[in-house]
Amino acid sequence: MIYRRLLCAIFVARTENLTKLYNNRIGIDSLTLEVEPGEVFGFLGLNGAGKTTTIRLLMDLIRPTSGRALLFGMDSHAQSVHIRKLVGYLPAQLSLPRFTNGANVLRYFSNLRGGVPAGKIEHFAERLNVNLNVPIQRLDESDTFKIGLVQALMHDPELLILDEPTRFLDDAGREALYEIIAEVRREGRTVFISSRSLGEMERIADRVGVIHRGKLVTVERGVHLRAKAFREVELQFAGPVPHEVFESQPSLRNLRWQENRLHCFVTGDPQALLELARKQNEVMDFKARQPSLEEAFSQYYGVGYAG
Amino acid sequence: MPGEVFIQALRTTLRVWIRCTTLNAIAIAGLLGWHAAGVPQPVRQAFARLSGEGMPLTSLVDWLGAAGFGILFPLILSGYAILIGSQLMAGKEEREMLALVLAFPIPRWRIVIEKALGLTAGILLATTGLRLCLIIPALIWPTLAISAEGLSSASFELSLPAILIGNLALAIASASGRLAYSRWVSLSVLAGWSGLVFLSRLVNGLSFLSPLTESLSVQFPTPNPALARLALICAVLLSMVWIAAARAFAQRDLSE
Repeated sequence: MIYRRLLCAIFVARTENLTKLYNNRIGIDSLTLEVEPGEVFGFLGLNGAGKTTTIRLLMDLIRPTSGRALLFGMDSHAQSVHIRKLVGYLPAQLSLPRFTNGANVLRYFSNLRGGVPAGKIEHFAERLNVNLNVPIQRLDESDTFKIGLVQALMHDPELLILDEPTRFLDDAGREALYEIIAEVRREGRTVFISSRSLGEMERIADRVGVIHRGKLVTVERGVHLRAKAFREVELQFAGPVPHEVFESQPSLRNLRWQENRLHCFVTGDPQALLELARKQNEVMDFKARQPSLEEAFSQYYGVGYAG
Repeated sequence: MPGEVFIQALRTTLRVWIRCTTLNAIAIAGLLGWHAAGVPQPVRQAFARLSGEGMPLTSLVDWLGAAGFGILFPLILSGYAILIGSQLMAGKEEREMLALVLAFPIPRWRIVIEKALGLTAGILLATTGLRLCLIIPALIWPTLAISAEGLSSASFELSLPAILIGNLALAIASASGRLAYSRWVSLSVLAGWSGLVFLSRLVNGLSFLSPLTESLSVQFPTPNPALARLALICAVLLSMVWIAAARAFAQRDLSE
């Protein structure tokens, strides 16, 4: 009992060699991770990497083949009803009753929780800018997910589990959610958020668990992830430049030359590269883009794209 | 809050039952119209044998009792009960909503039981709707002289097989999460049950099946004296189905 309480104080969520097989296909494989109280834990992976499987196991929607999941020191299956009082959850796929409006759906969810103050619901609906009086069947996916977010947030849960919440959100909704997540964190509550976006994880997460083909590849501090951030850069010079100046730069990788055009990956701030380039010759064109998650995976962790 | 899932299930049931009541009203209108136009003697004989009623089925009430309460209404109601029972646990929208509802602090068994109670209450309300459908012609043509007691008893009796088969569909859907599978298995059970009922009436040598099969036959216009016993048997069977459904759902892996 003391050990369990201690664990609860250290970890809000913990999985121990959690494995899930779907027939013979691996959902997740011996996943062990820990989520600390008051942190925003990002769970980053490609489509089909095992993010949703892990979250469903934490929520006791599916049962592990082996291993176990603990939330607040309690077994996610044996004490699932107690756990769910403390958790707010948004699934990756959300379907709401079509023949009613958002207000009625949220009233239903509120009643399932034994009643939530109406003011709370209105507060989050306002912040996420969703009209609760419109019939669900007339809402787009972004607004449907905002209603899903309101139900996850409305009871001020100790742990917020969000499965790819920004996938369908518009830019304003995404910004509003980031603000809410920051507030939740400031209040000492915990957020477990999955995503396919490296940029998003860099921005909001304190720590990021990277999952690939069902295996946890690494858990990084957000600051480390940001330091590792790289971009694909394309530079067009007005005339010839000495290649060795660029090839000797440690922050540049995968350099490719096409006459006076340079393609490369730059780690850290691309502004330094631009300044260096300007010293060599006139820069006619400069393009920089964030790498895709697949490229980032390949660069950081040496894992191939699952396709 | 207790009852929230029950209310939602009742709403869904009633929304679908409106269509069922419409179909029953069409069946009633068809039977009344057919009777007014004159039902041929061989058809009346066939309906009398299938429903277990005595000939000649010349009065409108007897005709309604044999063709409607004896054959058509139980089949329509049971068919709809299967559709709704399976949909409540395995319909596309309900299945997707389950992922969210199961994130709330409600035990899984309670979700099944509340849905089953919602279905059962919906069926009882729907048979009341059927009763109202029959009262309207009786009000228009007072010569019909449909006994209110007989009608009430028959409507309740009519709801029992629908409740049983609907809850069976719900239980299978709870255990498997598969809509089509639940519907086909329940329809097969209904087909087997109805087949036995009709066979026991048509084939003299199979009359020993009658105690087993009479539960599906509705006595109208005279009230069934064994209705209380029948309701008790249904309640026992229903409890068994509910316990099995709740257990299966509590253990189910919602991977799909």
